[in-house]
Amino acid sequence: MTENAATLVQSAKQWATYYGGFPNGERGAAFTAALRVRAAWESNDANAFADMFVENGSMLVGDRQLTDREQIRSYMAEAFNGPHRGTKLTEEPVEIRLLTHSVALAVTDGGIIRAGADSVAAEDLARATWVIVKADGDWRIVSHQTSPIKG
Amino acid sequence: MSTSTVQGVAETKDGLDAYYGQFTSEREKEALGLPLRLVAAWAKNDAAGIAEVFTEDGIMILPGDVFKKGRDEVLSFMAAAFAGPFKGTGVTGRPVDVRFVADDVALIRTHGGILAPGETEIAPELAVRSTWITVKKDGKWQLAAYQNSPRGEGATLRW
Repeated sequence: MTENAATLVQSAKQWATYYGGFPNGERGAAFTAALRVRAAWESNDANAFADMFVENGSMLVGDRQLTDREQIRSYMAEAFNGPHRGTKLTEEPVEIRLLTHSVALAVTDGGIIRAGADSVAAEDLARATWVIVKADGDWRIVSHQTSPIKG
Repeated sequence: MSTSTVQGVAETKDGLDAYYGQFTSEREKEALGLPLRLVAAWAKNDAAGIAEVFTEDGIMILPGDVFKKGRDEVLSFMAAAFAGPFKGTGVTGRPVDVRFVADDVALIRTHGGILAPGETEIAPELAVRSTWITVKKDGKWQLAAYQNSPRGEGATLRW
């Protein structure tokens, strides 16, 4: 195996674990929206991040309430160039439900892994609620909010 | 007593209009009736009444490690809270965002908080940002998930 292939296999193995107990089915499909947010964060890519939200998508970050996709885009662009540079996001799904055939609710535990760290610091642990909607055949984020678990 | 003030919101037309604020369509007002039901139950420290606002499998997430699933868990948790430090408290809030994600799914965000016994204003320590994920089932809006997060630097309450 080439080194590239070995790296890909390793990354894929890790990526597959991100689905937690929801690898397949409609719930797994809905959760891909959160995984794509996670991937965008890992690349520090504000555009890819914002594009996973519906136009009037909302996100609560700390005490700042963002209420549409463009606010999210500019906030994240600034954050990835500043305090969030080199950080990663973890989001272990603990509950995923379909509220209707086109609206899903996911609860994840996780948080921001600070640059250079391997895991989320205890004081940064948060529980997130995601509202995810299926539009034009794919899933997008309507709302994301976190609450501190330990901090 | 704080609870009379909280209940007062829903008791007069002016109080209700002030609560609805910019959300004046009939369907918005209908969905916004749900938080009022929880406020009314809280004012009586009625854990069962609070649980009733949720769907059978409704979720409640609060700052601190609180993740309750289903009416029974909500009921027991709230009953214990009212037996403990939350005895005599009220809760209040006003809507800042109402969106229909589907015809029968409304996302409501409110700014509010707990009222300590005897208080009529939310102290900074107790201020929250709440998201209410509500579904209309059997003709009635029910709470599929509720979450709140600290609002403001001084919001230190953890459950």
